Amino acid sequence: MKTNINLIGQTRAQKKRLNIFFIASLSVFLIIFIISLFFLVYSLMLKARAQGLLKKENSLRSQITVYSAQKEKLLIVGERLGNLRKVISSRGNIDTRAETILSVIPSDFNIEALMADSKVVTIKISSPDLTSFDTLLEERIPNFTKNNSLKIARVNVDYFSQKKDDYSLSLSFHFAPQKLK
Amino acid sequence: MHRRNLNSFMEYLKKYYIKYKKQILPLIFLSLSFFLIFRVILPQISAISESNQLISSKTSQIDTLQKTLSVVSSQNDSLTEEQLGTATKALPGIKDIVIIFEALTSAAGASRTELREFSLKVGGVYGRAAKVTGFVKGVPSISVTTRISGDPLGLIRFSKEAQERLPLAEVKTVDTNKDTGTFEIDFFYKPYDITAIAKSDKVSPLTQADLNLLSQLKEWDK
Repeated sequence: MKTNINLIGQTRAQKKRLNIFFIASLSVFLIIFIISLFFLVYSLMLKARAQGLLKKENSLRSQITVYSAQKEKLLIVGERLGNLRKVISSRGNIDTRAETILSVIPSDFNIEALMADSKVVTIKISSPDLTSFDTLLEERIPNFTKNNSLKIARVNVDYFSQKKDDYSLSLSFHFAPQKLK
Repeated sequence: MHRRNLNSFMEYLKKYYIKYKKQILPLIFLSLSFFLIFRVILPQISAISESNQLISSKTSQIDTLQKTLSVVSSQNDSLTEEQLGTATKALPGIKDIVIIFEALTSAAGASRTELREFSLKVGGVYGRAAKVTGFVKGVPSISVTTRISGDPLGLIRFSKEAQERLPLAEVKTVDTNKDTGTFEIDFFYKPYDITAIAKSDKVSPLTQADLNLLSQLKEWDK
C-alpha cells in the first residue's frame, strides 16, 4: 500500500484548475455575449436606417408621380436622340459623293447616267469635244483624287466610245470601306 | 414502482451534480458561447452585410430619384413637348407611310424634280414575326424605292434633300439615266419600349450635344 499520496495537494491543484477553467469559460462567454449584443444593436440600427431610406424613396417616388407625363416625354426624347445619333453616325454619304464627283465634271459635258451605292459611284458622260476628255482625265480627275476628302481608293475608266459626233465615257469611282463610328 | 425508480434516478443525478458541479457551469458557459456564435453572431454578420448592400443601393437610388425630380420639376413643358415632337418626327415609333410620302414629295419639290412613283415593302405590322427590312445599330428601317424625274443635277439634289429631311433616311442606291432616277431609300423608325421607359428612374437633363442635335433636326424639319 502506498503511503505517500498527498490527497490535499491534489485537491487544491484540481480546484485551481477548475477555477481557471471556470474563469476562462466565463470570460469567453462574456466576450461573446458582448460581441453578440454589439452585432444585434448594429444590425437593428442598420435595419432602421434602411427603413428610413425606403420611406424617403417612396416619398420621392410619389413626388415624381406628379410629373410622370413630363418624365415620360423626357425619357422618350433622350432615347430617340440616342438612336438618332447612332443612325446619323452610320449613314452613308452617297449624295455628298455624287455631288462632289459631279462638281469635277466640266459643264460642257452631258451627264447621261449616274449610279451610286455605298462602294462605287459610276458616271456616264458625253461630249462632242475630244480635248475636254483629255483635260478631264489628265488634269481634273488626278487633281481631284489627290485633294479629295471622300477617300477614293481608285478611279476606273470603264469604257470610252464614239457614237456619231459624240464621245462617251464611263468612269467609276471606288471608295475605301467606311469605318463605322 | 415508477415513483421509486424516479426517486432513485433523481438521487443518482444529485450525486453526480454534487460530484461534478464545478465542471458543469463552465460547460454551460461554453455551450452558451457556441450557441451565441452560431445562432446570433454568424447570422447577424450576413444580416449586416445584406443591410449594408440595401442601404448603399437605396442611397444611390434616392440620389437618382432626387436628380430626376429636380430635372422633371424644372422642365418647361412646352419646350419638352416641342423637343418630343421633333425627336419623334425624326425617328417615328411606327412605319408611317404618310410621313414618308410627305418627306419624298417635299424633297422632290425642293430639288425641282417630280416624284413619279414610290413603292415600299411595309412588312409585318403586328406580332413577333414582323420582318424588319433593314437594321442600323439596333434601329430598324423601311426600304422605299422611288422614281423621280428631273434634270441630272436635280436628281442628285433630290438624294441630298431626302437625307436632310424628317423622318431620318439614308439613300442606299442611286440609279439615274438622263432625266429619270430610281432611288432606294431606307427610312428609320423605332417602336417605343414602353416597359423600359416606365421602369426607368433616371432622367438626365439634355446635354449640349443633345440640344445641338435637336437644332440640327429642327433645321431638317422642312
